[in-house]
Amino acid sequence: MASWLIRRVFQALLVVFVMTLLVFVAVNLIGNPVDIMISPNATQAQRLETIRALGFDLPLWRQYLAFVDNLFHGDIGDSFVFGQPGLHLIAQRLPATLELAVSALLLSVLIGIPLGLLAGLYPNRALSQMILGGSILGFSLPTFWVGLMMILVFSVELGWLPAIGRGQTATVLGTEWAFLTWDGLQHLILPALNLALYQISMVLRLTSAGVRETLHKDFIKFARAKGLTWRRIVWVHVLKNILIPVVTVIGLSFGGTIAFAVVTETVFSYPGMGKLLIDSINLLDRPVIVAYLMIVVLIFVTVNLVVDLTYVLLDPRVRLGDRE
Amino acid sequence: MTFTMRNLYPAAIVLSASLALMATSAPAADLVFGRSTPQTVLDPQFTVQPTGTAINDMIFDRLVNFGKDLQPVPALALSWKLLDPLTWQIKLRGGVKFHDGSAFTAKDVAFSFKRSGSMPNSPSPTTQQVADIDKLEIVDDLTLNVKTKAPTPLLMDQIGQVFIVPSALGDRVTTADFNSGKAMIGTGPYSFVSWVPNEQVIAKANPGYWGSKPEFDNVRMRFITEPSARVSALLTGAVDVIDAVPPTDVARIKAQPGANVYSIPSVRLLYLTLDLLNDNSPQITDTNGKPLNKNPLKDARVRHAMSLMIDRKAITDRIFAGLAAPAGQVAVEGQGGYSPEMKAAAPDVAKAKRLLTEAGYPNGFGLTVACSTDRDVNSPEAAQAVAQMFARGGLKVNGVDCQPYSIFSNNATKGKYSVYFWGRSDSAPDTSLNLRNGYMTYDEKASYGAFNRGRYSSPKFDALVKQALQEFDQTKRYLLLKQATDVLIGQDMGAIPLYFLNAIWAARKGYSYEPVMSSNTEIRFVHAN
Repeated sequence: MASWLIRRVFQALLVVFVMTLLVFVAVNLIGNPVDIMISPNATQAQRLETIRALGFDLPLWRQYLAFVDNLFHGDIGDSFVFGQPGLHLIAQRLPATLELAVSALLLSVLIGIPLGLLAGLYPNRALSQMILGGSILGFSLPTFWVGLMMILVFSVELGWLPAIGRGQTATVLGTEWAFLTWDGLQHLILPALNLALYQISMVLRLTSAGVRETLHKDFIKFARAKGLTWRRIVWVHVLKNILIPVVTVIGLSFGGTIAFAVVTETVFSYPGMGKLLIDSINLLDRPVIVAYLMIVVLIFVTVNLVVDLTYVLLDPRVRLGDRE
Repeated sequence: MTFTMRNLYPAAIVLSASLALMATSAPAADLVFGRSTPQTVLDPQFTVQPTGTAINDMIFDRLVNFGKDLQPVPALALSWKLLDPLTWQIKLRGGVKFHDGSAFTAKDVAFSFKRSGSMPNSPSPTTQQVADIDKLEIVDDLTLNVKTKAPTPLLMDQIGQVFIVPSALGDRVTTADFNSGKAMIGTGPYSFVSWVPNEQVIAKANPGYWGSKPEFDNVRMRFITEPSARVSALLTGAVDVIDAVPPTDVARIKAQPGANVYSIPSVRLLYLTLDLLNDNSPQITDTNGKPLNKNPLKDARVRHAMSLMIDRKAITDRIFAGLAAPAGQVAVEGQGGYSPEMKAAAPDVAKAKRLLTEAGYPNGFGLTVACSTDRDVNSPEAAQAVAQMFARGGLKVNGVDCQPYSIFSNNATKGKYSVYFWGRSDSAPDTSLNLRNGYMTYDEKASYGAFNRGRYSSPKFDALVKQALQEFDQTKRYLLLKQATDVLIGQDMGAIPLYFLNAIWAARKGYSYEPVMSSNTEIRFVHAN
C-alpha cells in the first residue's frame, strides 16, 4: 500500500512538470502579452522596458529555468495584470469554484441516482421513458445556452432568483463560503444546476443501465428466494454493485466539472477561478495560467486517489498494489 | 417508505414558494453600477490600462478634469501659466482635504508625480504622463513650478491625468498597501470602503468634498465583464446603471418600462492599417492568387480608390444599427486639429475603378482583410462588409481573416497582415500625440511612430507634426495639426478611417447617465432622477 502511494505521488509530480513545460511553450506560441498590456501612447523605450521587466527578452529555455528555480523557492510568479502572486489570486477564488463543483456533485448524486433507480426498476413506465429522454437533452444541450435560458426564465421573466454574482458570504476558517448564507445559496442554485446538468444525465443513465443489468443476476434471484425485503435488495445489494462505475464517472468528471465551471462562471458572472483562467488566457497572463493548471492537476490527482481508495470500500475483492 | 417522486412534491413546493418571496432592490440614494472593466489593481498610479482606472475617479482627483469637449477643466489645479518656455507655474486649489482630514498641498502633487514616474513591474506604466518633467519646485503650499526638458505646450494635458495621493504615505508605500485599502486615501467625492477583487468595490460619500456634493450615499461598483450578464443584471434590477451596452441589446433594454439608453459617438476610431513598408506584401496577390512583386498599396491612388469603395454609412446604419459614426479622418469633431471640410465621403465606385486603372491595376489585385474578433464589437461583421465592398469595387478578396486579439495583435506587430482593422482611442484635447505615435515616420530613438505599424512615412507630415508639438499658441497649433491631417488623409490616405464606435450606457428607472465623448465611465456622470 505504501509503495503504491509513493508511486502515485511520483506520477503526479511528473504530470505537473510536463504540464508546466507545455504551458510555457503554448502561451509563447500564441503571442506576446506585452502587445496586449502596453498603453497605446507608450514610447518604444517603454515597450522595451516592459519586455525586460517581464523577462521576455530572455530566450524561452532561460525563462523556463528561471521559473523552475522560483518554483523551488515556493514562488510561482506574479501575475502580469494584477501584480500579485498568481497562486494568491487563485486561492482567493478557489472557494467559489469548489462550492459550485461540490454543489453540482451533490446535485448529480441526489438527483441522478434516485431517478436512475426509478428508470431502471420500472423501465416500462411512461415516467421512466421521459426521464431517460430528458437525460439525452441533459448531456447534449450546450452549457452556456442552458445557462442563458435559465437566467432569462428564472431571473428576468419570473424574477425568482438572482441573475449573476455570488451573493453574501460567511467567513469560516479564514475563507468565505457562500453556501452558509441564504443569499449565497440563492445565487448558487442556478449556476450549480447548470453545471450539474451534464453529470446528472450521465449518472442517471449509468445507474439505470446498471440496475437493469444487476436485477437479472443470480444472486438477486437467490436473495428474493431467501425472503429479503424488496427495499433491502434494492438499496443494499443492487446499489452497492452498480456504484463502482458510477463512482468512477463521478470522480473523473469532478475534474471536468471544475474545468467546465469556466463556462458557467462566465455566463453567471460567478467569481470563481475558471473565469480568472479565461480572462488570463485572453490577456496572456502566463503566471496565472500556470498556477491555475498546477492546482487543477493537483485536484485531479487527489480525486483519482480518493476514487481508487473508495473502490476498496465498495468492493472487498479489490486490493490496491501488487498481488502477493 | 419507498423513495418516489410523490414524497418530493411537498418539499419542492415549499422551496419554490420561499424563493419567490425574495426581492432584490437597492435602497434609494444609493447606486449600484455594473461595470464592464474590472479594477485589477487599486493603486491609482500603477497602470494607465482601463483595468487600473475604473474606480479612480471616485476616490481620487487629478489636477484637471476633461470636460465634454475633451478640453481640460480646473480640478485640483485652479490655473496654470507659462513663466518661460521651459517652466509652467500651477496654482492649486485651497481648502481641499484628504479623506483622512489632512490638508492638500503642493507637496502631495510633487509626491504623486514622482511616484507615477517610478512604478516598477507595471506592464503599462503611467510614466508617459510625467515623462516631460525635468524638475519640480514647490514655491509655497498652493503653488508649484514645473520645469520641462523641452518646450511642452501640452504639459497640463499629460500631468493633469495623474491621480493625486497624500505625500504622508511616504516613499515606501507599495501597491500592496493600496490593494489592502490602507493607502486608499484621496480627495475625491467618495471614500473607499472595501474591495473584493474582480467582484466589487464599495465606496461611501465624502461629505467634505470640495466640488459638487456627491449624489449618492453609497456606491457599489460591481464588475460584470460578460455583456449578456451585465444586461441581465440591469433588467432584473440587480444593478442600476451599466456601461458598454452591446448594440444588439439596446432594443431590449428600451422595451423595459422606465429604462433608458444613452449613447454618444466616442473617440474609439476603427481604421484600416495598410502595409506601406514591404514591396512583397504578405497578403497581397495578383488576380490569380499568385504573389505580386510590387505593392499596390504604396500608390496613393490605390489607397484613395479603396477608401472610395467603402460605404461607411451603410456599415454604421446596418451593422451597428446607427450606433456608430462614419469617420472621414482620425480626429473627432471638437478635438484640436479636426478638419471640418474633411467629412466621411460617400462611396464612388466609378471613380475608384478609374483611379485603379490610372495606377496600373485595371483588373484590380488580390488582398485579405484581417481583424480581431473580440477587441471591438462587431469587427468581424464590419470586416466582411468592407471585403464585399472591395470586391464590388473590382478588387479580388482572397479572404477575411479574424482572430482573437491575443493572436491578432501579435501577427500585426510581426507584419503578417497587409490590410487590417485597428482601433485607437484618443481622448486628448488635440490630435498631436495621436499623430505622433500613430503616423509619424518610425524612429525608435526619437520615439516617433511607436505604433505606426503600417510604416506610413511622409517628410511633409513629419515636419508639420514636429512643429505642432513645439507650438505654444493654441490657434497656431490647431492649424498645423489640421494641415497635417490634410496631408495624412486628404492627400496620402496613409490609413483609411472607417467609423467611430458609439459608447453606450443604460440606466433603469430613477437613474440617468450623462454621456461624454471621451467614453470614460465616471460616477460623476451618473444622476439620480
